[in-house]
Amino acid sequence: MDLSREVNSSLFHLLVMELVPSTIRMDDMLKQRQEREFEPTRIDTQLSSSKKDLPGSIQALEADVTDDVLIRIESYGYTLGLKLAEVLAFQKQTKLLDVLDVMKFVCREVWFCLYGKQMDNLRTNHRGTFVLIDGNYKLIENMTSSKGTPDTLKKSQYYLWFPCGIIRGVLMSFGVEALVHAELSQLPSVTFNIQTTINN
Amino acid sequence: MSKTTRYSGDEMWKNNVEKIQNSELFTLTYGSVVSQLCRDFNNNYQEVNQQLDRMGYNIGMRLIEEFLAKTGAQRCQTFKETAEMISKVGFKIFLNIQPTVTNWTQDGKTFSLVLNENPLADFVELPMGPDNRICRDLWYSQVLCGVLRGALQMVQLDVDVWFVKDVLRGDDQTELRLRLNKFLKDEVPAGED
Repeated sequence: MDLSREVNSSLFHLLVMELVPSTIRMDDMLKQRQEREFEPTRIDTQLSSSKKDLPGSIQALEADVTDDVLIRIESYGYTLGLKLAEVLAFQKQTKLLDVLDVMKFVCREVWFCLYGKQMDNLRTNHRGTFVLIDGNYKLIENMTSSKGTPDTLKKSQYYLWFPCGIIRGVLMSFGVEALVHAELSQLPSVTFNIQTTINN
Repeated sequence: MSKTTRYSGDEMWKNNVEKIQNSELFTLTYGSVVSQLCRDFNNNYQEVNQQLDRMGYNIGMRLIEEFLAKTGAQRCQTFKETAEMISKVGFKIFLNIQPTVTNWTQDGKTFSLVLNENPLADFVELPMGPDNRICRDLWYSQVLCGVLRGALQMVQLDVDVWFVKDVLRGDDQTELRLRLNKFLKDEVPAGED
């Protein structure tokens, strides 16, 4: 495998940032279900049925975000996580003996690969619940809403389903079934709660 | 030597760009988007292309900011110069590749970018169905067209971008066509006169 290949990291972040609005628009499109010819996007192309949703704007986030959308965002992450785990496990050749090892793998290798840093804190109650804390979460660090902090928090929440999916995918790839959800109380610190069925 | 060589894409790539160590991460993320889109649109590949194009357009509009900030590039005088800039600086600092600019038309308004390698499509194979529809309809890297159009729109160039060949479809090379429609006039943003 070609390990020397690199791309600009901002490209990755731009892609991930675009995922959420696109997914909302897609949901909107799927509901209408009409046959269309391919048309190149223009500066004044209406992207969804919500008003003023033009390219470059994030008006789509104002729409009611349904569970369908969130599930879809999560599943982007999930497929990525499944595959990423394989690539990283192959490259790093680490031995993973129990669930805690897997969690450490998530905190170190996976997070480093994604965001160039490790998770800041890992806690567990030794009964299958794990709490991972990233005190400066890169994906949302640049986000701010013109309507103030509560609105920023609300909208950033949607984006967090993506890393939740990644974590769930990685765990699944190592045979650990888990429920993952993220909490965001103060920007840019994010807490990931992971419930597994495995007692450790 | 054209003037664009003042901005060395190589230099910038080496010193001025935050990279991800693993381009697989990027490839896999994009792959997961495309495959999910194919599922969601029930293998209606026209719609998938459309959606990728839109995503690209939005990304391009944001990406140009980073491009201008990093390079400090000035306005290109000719469309030929723009082509060089796209290939030698743009593609270089974002994807670390340098597509070849060829196939200019007589009027100098349309050219091809030939991608010798494509980080988006590393390890990708399109599944061969019974009717091979996916190879006929899907442009896997359509997002690039959107990005180019979105970015160029922001620097007042109205262009059309489309794929003519893709190695994923079994062609001999991956080729993008760019056509300049018109130079847009600089306009003062609304409410800022």
